[in-house]
Amino acid sequence: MIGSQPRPESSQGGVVQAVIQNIINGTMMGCIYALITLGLSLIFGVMNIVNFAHGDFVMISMYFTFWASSLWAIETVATPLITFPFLFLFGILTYYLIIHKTLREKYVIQIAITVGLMTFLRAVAQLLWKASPRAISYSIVQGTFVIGNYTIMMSRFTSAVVSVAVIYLFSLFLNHTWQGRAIRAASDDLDAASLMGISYKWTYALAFGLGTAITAIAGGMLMTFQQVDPTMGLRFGLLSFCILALAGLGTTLGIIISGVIVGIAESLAMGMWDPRASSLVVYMIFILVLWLKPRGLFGRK
Amino acid sequence: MKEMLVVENLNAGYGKVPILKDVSIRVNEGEVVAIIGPNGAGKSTLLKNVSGLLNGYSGKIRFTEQNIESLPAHKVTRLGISYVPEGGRLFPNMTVRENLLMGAFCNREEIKKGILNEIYELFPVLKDRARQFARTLSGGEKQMLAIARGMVSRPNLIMLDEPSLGLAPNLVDSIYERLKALKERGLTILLVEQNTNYALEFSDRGYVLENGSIVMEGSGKDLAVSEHIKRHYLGL
Repeated sequence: MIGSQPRPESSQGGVVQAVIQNIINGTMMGCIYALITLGLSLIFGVMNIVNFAHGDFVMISMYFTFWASSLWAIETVATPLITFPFLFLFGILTYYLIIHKTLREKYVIQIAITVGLMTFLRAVAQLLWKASPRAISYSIVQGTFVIGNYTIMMSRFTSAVVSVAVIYLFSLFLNHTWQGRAIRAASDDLDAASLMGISYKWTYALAFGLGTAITAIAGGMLMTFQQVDPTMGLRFGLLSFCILALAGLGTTLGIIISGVIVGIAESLAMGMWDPRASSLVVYMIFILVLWLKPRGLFGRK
Repeated sequence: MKEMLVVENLNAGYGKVPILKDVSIRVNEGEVVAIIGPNGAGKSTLLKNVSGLLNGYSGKIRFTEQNIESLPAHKVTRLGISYVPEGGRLFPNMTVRENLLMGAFCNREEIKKGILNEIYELFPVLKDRARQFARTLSGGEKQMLAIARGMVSRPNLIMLDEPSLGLAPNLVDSIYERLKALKERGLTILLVEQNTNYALEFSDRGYVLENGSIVMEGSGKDLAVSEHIKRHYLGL
């Protein structure tokens, strides 16, 4: 009976199902990528600094999550409660000690300094946690649930929901609080913002601190279903550049949509073509966007 | 009369390019003072130095007895000096209301006390446009918003840089009507203008700045009838 089922139809149905399954997985990953990108966009939008170390902040956050989870037995999903304030302080310190001094320097120097920070963080991670990958042993969000023919990992689903919720909270912060509005004002016109009584130094430090602290949440969520190794930061960094280029500046909704586009593209390439093709597809999008729409799909002028 | 702002022998410029040479001016409490002069004379440079956006080479700037020549802009603003720069310098991607809120950043109590309603009474068009992005306003509306934003914190001194620049004559009239209303409330105003006619008629006193130096000083009326001003500025 089973053997007599018409094969072509079933394999066609199988392809459709696989595509949809990959779209679901990609959408969930895309939401986490969007959260990472929000941090990058906050820093780039306000002080015009491309932070090449951004992905390595994600990597460091993942290790902190690993520590919090394995040393203190804190539930992985709850680790951002500890890692967020810690990375916020880390970001503020990084700003005052390193970034602030380069503000009036040439672009090349700013790139060199953040690339330097990137390799520094990677070396620290190698020293502290060794080169072998680390993963957490247990999280409450394990297992899967099934909707129709599709299987959804509980951990990824939770991560996506948390990511979108955090992005929403951040847009509320930027639009409805004095400090949030000060960040937007400084990114619109720095001199005019100082004329309003806004200290640019503190606003920059705040934006850098928050942009960094966001990676604590992303890192915590990623650890519920991924392992971490010292070299994986670059991948997140480049992914978030790509998503930011696609979205353009000053649009949180655009970041979510772009994150999902990149997540789906990556997932489809990996699932339907070749696992090694995922970066290729992502960078193709990156290059196409820079070529055809340098301000991004949703960015302001 | 009580001195509010005193600039003494200010030398200043951009980088190594000197613009102002030994400039001294004084603004008393409740006074409207105009600085007129041709393009490139250093009028904006003077205001930028007072506001803290630029720091001069030498000289003193005092605001109500306090030395402010080396303070950064945000600290000067917190002392009660509001500077409306040339072209308004609004926050284009923020709404009209948000721009006004930013104006009260260092004096948030005023928002609770309902200053926005007072502002909307004076500039009704801003109330209609409250939810629009500042970048969507017309030139005249932008200038109104810039002036209004400079007022929200209830400054002791407001400095206006070319409020009539690039506006059609009827809009210039309407801007100056609003400025007169502010003057009648006793606000101290330091005004930089190329529109000499309006500036001299509106102000109590004026300075003429040419090539980075003050060349004349006097009451608005006296300056308006002087031969030098008539010939070079009013085209009479």
